[in-house]
Amino acid sequence: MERGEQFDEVVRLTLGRYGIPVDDVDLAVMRVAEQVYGPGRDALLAADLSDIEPEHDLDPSRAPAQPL
Amino acid sequence: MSDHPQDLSLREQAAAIADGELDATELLEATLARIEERDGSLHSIAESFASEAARMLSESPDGPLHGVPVAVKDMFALPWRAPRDGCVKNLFGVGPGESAVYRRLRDAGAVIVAVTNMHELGAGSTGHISAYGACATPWDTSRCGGGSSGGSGSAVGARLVAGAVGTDGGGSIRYPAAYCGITGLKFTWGSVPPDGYTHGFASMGAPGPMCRDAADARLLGGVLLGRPLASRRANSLRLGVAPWFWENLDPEVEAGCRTAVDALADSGIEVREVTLDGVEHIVSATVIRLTLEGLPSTKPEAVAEVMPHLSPVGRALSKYNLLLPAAALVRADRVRGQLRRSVGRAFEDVDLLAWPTVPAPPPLIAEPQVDLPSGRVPADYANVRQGGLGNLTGVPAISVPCGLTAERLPIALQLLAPWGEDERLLDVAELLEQATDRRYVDALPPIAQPTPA
Repeated sequence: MERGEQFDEVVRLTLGRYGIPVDDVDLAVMRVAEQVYGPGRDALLAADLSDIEPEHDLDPSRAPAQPL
Repeated sequence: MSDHPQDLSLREQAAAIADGELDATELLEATLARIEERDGSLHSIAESFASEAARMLSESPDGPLHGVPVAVKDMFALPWRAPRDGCVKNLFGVGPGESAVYRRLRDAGAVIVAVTNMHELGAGSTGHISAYGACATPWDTSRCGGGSSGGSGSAVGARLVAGAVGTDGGGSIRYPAAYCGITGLKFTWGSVPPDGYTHGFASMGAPGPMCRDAADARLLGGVLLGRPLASRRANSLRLGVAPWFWENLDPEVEAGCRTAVDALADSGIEVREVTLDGVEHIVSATVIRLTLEGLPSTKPEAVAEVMPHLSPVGRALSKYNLLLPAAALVRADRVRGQLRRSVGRAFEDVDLLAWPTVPAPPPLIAEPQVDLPSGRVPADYANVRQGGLGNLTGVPAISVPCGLTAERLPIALQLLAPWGEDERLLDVAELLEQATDRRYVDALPPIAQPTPA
């Protein structure tokens, strides 16, 4: 997601496309959230995960199968 | 010395009723009176039930909790009340009814005396945002009681009830347990049927007992699981310490938790260092999955009804969550698989993992941020770093009181065990209680101190 001055515009346009109104309080809260959680999300989006096998048939009640 | 029956433990209340030494009707009346007396500054109780509790008591079968009052988080359907998730109404269309948690408590003879407060929509680790008021820790009512199961933690810590049920989708039993100085156990995912639980769709959330100590958690936990939780010797186990979770901590929290690990080592536990892969993405993976996996289960008409009543923060974040790119969720799930495999491998070498439940003591309600060596950050962000792994992997996890800061705020150690080994956590929690002469599980917060005659 964009940062700085573009952030507000991206938020308004993206949510506006779905008919979701955004006011100044929303934007103020979202800016803080973006400041706190944005860097970690962007690091996840940029990480090279290509060597990590997906876990098919996830069952959180059990240990996962280990790759052979 | 108090002679109030809510100063007895859960197991002492159950035993005294069974032995005819305590009248269950008097216990219920004393519990309701104590809620009235003490909850004003805590906001731990969303609603109490004099008539419904009296009816449950009159119909209470013989069982391990016959006649014993307990409270449940605002996420479970009761025959007389729909859960509200800390706001005016839940978003998922869960109405009044018999949730699995209600049935198990009822069948064990327990009396549901109240629904406890929680962080709005379950979306916070502090408990300071709720339709029922900001929930405080009984150790300092200007500070957060934790979230999202803050009401359950605060009510037990303040001796309003001896046992309460919480839920934990991203640390939500363990954080308030830590903030309120009590013992909170998140079961292995899927251990309790999800019916009547507002987040029953979730792949991360699990209910569990919140009590003053491990023995009470064993009793209430056994009722919730529908099977006794056996006690075993714990002092030959191997404990894994993962350094990543011991970084960037409040110095008093770090010292208290290291002392607890040393106490376990002195009791015969072997301590080893372990390394886990993928931990650098725990916060993002936890938050992304938590915030998005409920969306398909929301009822549009409920969302429209609830949105105008949400807090400004809750309303804004519910919109912000819609901006997350799909790629982030797919990547979060890839990391989740990596973490699950890494934890599975670690449990081939150790029997438990341990690190601080939260990195800092409970923050102020007026400013829910924590000061860490890296600087001041929102408590939510800092807490998920410690708690998210238990939810992403599905393993059971417990928070155990292990110290007090100079300001007399609780410090807690978190323990995690392999899938299905929930009992092991209680065994080690009891070992830690013994090793510390029960100093921290028996410590009384100011609000629960006996008043001079």
